[in-house]
Amino acid sequence: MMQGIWVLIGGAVGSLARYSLSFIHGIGLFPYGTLFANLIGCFLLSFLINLPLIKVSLPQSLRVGVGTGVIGGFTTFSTFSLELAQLLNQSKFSLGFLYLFVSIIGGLFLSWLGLLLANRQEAK
Amino acid sequence: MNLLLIAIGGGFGALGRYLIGKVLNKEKHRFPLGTWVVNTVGTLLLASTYILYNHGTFHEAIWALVGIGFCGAFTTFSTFSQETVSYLLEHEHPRAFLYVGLSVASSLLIAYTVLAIWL
Repeated sequence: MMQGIWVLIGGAVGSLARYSLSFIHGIGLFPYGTLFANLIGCFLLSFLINLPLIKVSLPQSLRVGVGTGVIGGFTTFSTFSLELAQLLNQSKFSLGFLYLFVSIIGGLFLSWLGLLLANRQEAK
Repeated sequence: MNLLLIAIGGGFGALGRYLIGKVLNKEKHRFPLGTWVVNTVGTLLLASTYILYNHGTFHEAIWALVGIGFCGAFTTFSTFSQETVSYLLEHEHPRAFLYVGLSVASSLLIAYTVLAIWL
């Protein structure tokens, strides 16, 4: 119950943060806003949920509120798919492929980097 | 006004994803079914909302509430990426490729079809 309320509040906060980033993308141009939100979110999610300090000090419900709520709501898969489909629909194939490639490979790299840096904190 | 609608939509989108994940993201499935379902269904809802907003059927307020808020938060990229990385670290490469391929293909196909038919 408490966990659900934190996810709801977190999702609201994450969505507003994502919306504020959306202003950096102009119509018809490369979708930088979604790309930045997704890449930053990938790093933050794996860094924060694996950080020893957060694992120990934050209660479970708040950790889910931050991870699933704030960061889950900050990043988005539907907007990414729609923007990719728009680029392909406008026959901007190279731009579409670049967007797909940077989102997926960049996201995986940053998720991995976040995990690595969080685990390194533990060793100290 | 729009900020409030985005926050409300985003809150309920995240809550919906959390509840669906609780039911569908079971360890025994060895596949993050919950994340895949929310991302695919969320993309269909976003593309449909976008078309109706673009045609003037939906007011800007509905786009803010349902499109930017709910669909944006209901779907997630960070969890999708994190799940893929954990497969790769467990040396489950075929599963990782299958997950990425299925997620991108199903959502892109849905979004492209909706745009191609109605835009």
